[in-house]
Amino acid sequence: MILQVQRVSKTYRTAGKNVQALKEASLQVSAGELLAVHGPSGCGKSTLLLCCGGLLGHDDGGQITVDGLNPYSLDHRQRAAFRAEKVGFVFQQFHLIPYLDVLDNVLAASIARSPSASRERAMSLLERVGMRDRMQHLPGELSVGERQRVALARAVLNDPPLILADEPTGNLDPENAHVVFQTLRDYAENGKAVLLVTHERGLLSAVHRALRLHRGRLE
Amino acid sequence: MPTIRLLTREILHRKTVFLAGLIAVALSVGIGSGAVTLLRVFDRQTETILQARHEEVERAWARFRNDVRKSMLELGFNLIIVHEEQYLSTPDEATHYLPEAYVDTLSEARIMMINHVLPFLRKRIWWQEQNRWVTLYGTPGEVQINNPAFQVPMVEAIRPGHASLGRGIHQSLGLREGDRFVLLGREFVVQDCRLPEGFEEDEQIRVPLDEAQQMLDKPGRITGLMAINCVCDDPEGLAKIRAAVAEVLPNTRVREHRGNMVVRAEERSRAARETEASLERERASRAELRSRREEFNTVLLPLVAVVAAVWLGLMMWMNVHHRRGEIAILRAIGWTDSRVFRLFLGKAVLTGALGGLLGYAGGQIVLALRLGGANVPLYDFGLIVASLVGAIALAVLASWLPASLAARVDPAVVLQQE
Repeated sequence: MILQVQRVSKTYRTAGKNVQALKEASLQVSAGELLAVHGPSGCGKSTLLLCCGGLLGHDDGGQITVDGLNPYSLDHRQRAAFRAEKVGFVFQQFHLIPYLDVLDNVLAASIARSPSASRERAMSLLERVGMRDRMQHLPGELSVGERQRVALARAVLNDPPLILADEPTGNLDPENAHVVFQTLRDYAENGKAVLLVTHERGLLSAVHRALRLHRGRLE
Repeated sequence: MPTIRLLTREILHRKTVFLAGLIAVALSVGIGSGAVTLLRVFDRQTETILQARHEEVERAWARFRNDVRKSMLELGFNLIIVHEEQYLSTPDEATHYLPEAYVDTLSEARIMMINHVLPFLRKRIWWQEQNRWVTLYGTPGEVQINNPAFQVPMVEAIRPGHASLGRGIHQSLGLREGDRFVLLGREFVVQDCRLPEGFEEDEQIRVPLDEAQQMLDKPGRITGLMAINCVCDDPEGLAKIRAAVAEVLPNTRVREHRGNMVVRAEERSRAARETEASLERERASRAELRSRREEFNTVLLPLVAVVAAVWLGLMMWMNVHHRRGEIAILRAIGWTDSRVFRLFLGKAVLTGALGGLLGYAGGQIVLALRLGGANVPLYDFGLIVASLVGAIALAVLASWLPASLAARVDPAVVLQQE
């Protein structure tokens, strides 16, 4: 089991108003599995993803382990290392660094000790997502689909056991959406795990398993 | 990916913001290093001015000493002690005499300012053998040394039976050293023929004192005492000498021999002292001016540093604010908070280092253009290091808070917002 989420709750506390985003949510993602969590906007999908990635504390209870590690039991430095080694993020908005070219954007996530090995792997990944010939380009010079492919290459650079993808195809045309989705699926089928959150029902038929998140509860 | 690569790419991407910070640091360093250089230039000018003044004082004192020395060499004596009733305008017509014992009295008094005492008996006489007037000048032929430190006799001794002839006499009579002549029935051998010394001295025949006393029938008497003041460079001490002599030799008066020379020496002395005083005034004035400049700098430099720090801090804060999304994604892909902190602090160090160098170079060039290249050292290793260290410290301090804020950016919050 790569990802285990057990009875996780998360409440956002703002002045005079508490919003419970997750209510005792539990799920598991095995190696080789692509699990989709779907639901309407604001149902807590992104919160679930951030919690799984060790970015958002779940103070209201529950436990999360990724590849046997509970990120919230780690100190700051260890948790950063956890995010670099155990998890790869793909966001709907890509979040590429605007002043780095494609290759450097992918390499920004690198934790390899050998720069040349890291560079070779980055170029290989860009080749796989069809961006090898654009690797000297800045994000501003790419289409949205191309940007997402670069973000995908960045997410898998360190070969993490778990990919957390937040609406990865939400902004893409069908062709690019297919490339991205297929890449994620292939990654999962190579012994890794992918947790994908989406509101697109069309994707659900292509994933290995799907769960519905409704008002913070997984169904 | 090395942090430095990301840092340089970001700087190249946001050149304007970086340049704004760089200019702030460069300006503050330029003003700071310029102020320090100006002070140093001022110090060098002060040194040059004071050195010139010092040399002027030295020259003035040298002129004074030289004058006194020349006067002393020329005159041989600078004080003359005679009977208080002796009519000074005609010294050769002696009316009052002093006891020869005054020589011992004066010697034993050990007036430290008088080192040589020379008694004399002088009288203008008719030289019947040559049918002319001359001045007979009897001296003991040897110098009375008061202070053992002064062992060099200033007047050559006259041997018994010998005479020293002034120029007017040996020239007119064609006498040379070793020649013999008769004066008032007594035969003398010419011991030396003197070079021109002055109108009175050129008409003198100097003989041993005891022989002169016999010739003039004045045994144990002298006309006066020549006192050679070896404390030659202190003509202001004459009043002291007079007072000391009056104490030990009653019924005497002391006058300056060739007083105009002394007056001139005193003038020289006053001029030298005035030059010396002006040197001190200049030194004080320069010190005052420097102090004022330092005071100004103590206000200006911190003010400039604070303005630059605020400006740079603001630039850095804006930079952090603009890059919140970028920071969030870096944290999400595994960057530690300390690495994010180092990224921003590294930018501050780079801004400080470049700004320090540019500011130093700019400040020196502006000063060199205004003051002349020769006056402003373009390469001052100490100041370069100080500018660099100061600029980096300034930039780091100004960026510390924004860099800390960057390190504390919560990626979850930012990623959810975006």
